[in-house]
Amino acid sequence: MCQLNCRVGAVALTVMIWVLVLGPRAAVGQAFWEDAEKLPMAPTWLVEKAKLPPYSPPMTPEGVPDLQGVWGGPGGDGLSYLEDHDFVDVTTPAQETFVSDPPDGKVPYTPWALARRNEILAGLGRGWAGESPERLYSSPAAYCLSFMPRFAFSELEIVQQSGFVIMLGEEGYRVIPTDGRSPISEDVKFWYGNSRGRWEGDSLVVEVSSLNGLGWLDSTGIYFTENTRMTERWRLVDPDTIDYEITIEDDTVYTSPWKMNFARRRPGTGPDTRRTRMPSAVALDAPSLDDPYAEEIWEDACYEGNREGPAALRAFGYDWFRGVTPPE
Amino acid sequence: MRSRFVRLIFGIAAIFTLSPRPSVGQIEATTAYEPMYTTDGHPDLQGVWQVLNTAVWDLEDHGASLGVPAGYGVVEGGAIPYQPWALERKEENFENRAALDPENKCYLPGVPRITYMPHPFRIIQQADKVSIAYEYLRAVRYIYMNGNPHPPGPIEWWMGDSRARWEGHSLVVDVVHFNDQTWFDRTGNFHSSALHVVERYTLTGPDHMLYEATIEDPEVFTRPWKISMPLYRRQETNSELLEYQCHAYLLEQEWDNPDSSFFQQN
Amino acid sequence: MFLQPWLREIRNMKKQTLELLGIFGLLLVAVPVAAHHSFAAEFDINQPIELRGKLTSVEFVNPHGWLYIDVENEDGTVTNWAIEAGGANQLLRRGLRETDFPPGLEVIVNGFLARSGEPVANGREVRTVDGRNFFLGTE
Repeated sequence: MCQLNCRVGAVALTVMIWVLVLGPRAAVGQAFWEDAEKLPMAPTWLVEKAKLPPYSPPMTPEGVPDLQGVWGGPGGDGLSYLEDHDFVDVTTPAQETFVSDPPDGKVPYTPWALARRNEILAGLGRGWAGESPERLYSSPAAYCLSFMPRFAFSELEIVQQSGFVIMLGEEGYRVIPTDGRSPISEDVKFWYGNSRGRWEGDSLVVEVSSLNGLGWLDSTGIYFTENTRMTERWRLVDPDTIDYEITIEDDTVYTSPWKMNFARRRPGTGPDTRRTRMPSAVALDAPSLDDPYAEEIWEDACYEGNREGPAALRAFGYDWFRGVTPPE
Repeated sequence: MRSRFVRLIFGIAAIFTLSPRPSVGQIEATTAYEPMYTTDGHPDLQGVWQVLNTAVWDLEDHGASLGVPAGYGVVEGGAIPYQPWALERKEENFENRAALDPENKCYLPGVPRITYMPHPFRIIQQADKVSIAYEYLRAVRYIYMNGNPHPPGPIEWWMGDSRARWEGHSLVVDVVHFNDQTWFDRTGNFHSSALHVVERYTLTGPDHMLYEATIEDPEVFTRPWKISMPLYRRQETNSELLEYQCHAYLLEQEWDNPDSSFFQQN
Repeated sequence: MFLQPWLREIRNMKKQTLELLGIFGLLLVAVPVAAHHSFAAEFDINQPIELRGKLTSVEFVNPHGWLYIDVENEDGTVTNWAIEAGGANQLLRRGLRETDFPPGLEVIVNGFLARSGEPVANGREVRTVDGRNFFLGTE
């Protein structure tokens, strides 16, 4: 009589162990997700944020808010699929939208621009419903390219010095002058754009111009252009949480400026969004609890190690994404 | 009295012949310069720096050719002390450098080559680490000073694993765990994965630093050898690391080239 | 009666999870390195595959490492398969090294076939013949 119960229990226990103990550290390269409740993002954060009491951040000796330390990204499935979506397949779990404004949570593309976005979506070649038989583009991040704002969504360490805010991450860095100097000419375009910061009350406000429009905002082709400007606001709302908001502005493809918003937590704080991940080939049991290297960033060298990736995608017939040029 | 005079002459002659003289292109380390200090009590090496030499082309003395400037070598003693088999391999590398130089694939250049790429870099100091942010490829080295030793090997990284300590006014960086994929310059000077580099960064004035790197690789060289060169603080008031995403430009260029050899698997 | 020890296990797991959250928090809130989703373009989740073979080499690189295994075909010929596995850093941080995986080790791979038709698969689960997770090392 125990046999059936025991086996069911053993399987359930195993699944629970996998689900509770294993996490993002287990699943690198490709995470596999199960069809579970929607991962929280902007709507949940807006509700949580509204309930927070007012908070005065600690200040640096220079008299500006002290945002220093390591800060996580948005958690969940990150920038995989920017708008609200249900479970698509094991690569793409259900997740709320990143978009906090407009309230419908959708990127306010103009009709022309939305048609281009939908073309890209239909040409991803991921086996999703509604795809065309043609392969169009793969996400630039698939080629190990790093760019804004994607880099700003990754886990990073903020270091503040007189006249600069520095952000150190695994795939790159930003050095943001806060001394009032002008940006470079807008005609000059970069993958990371050109950032200029200033302090407004408790917020670090960073204007990003000179973007080249060649990166995507997510992995499904939510694109921007070389006319796009972005404005970030970084603000401590409690000792362990930064409210990160980014406004995307480009009247050549969007009907209005729009915003993304999420919470960034210090490591070890905040809710656990690993829960719906399934293990991958690097499934593991509990690792050592006292890893002295846990806080170190080790070499990524993604481009160097991804040699066969671009070749495979090119052989499939994907084109190189060269940006979207809106009509005059 | 005569023998004393002779001894004096010999003594003076000895001083002139035996004391180390810098070769042209190198500068002397001097502890005479008292640097500014960070609040941690260490020399403040921070800021935007760049080399002004031709080491990226060739670490040894070299002449000019189309697109290549001439320059004095940065190798102390002149020649890189290759083992005989390795010297042959270096010459093969040179003959085939267009195809073989990893820089042409926009791969991470390794250490010390990243230092003398013709792009600026910024040194950032914290209590637990020194970070060097490079404009080239937006590469960043985290040089840990948190008490951790090198993690145990074997590990093969393009930029190695860097751990540092202060010795007087010098930041001394120990780098191991390299792969064998990088070159030291554009003429095919190379190493194995046994490479061990020790860098020294020493301020010699408010806007100058001495950069030294000792190269040790018993599989390729007959003995350790050393390069040294000045680093210059960028003087522009709006000095900034911009961007050079070499691999992005290369992928875009090669993507539509039907004869491209870039995408061939090796 | 069976459930009680099971529930106790789960409670203990939760406690351990909280401890792990503290130490490994750095990794928990992070988006995985290069969550780039070329996976879906390169591999077909509707074509699961199981392979059994002897390891010829491993490559610890990011964004994903590789195992190469010799798989014997029905006709007696041998094909060397490339299995895409987890990225280098997670393996390195757990103390694993390429040298821990000697050639000749027999492994079983469950994964997804590459769309290209080449002998390439994405390794969803890799086990040693006695059922242990391959990436726990050979102990």
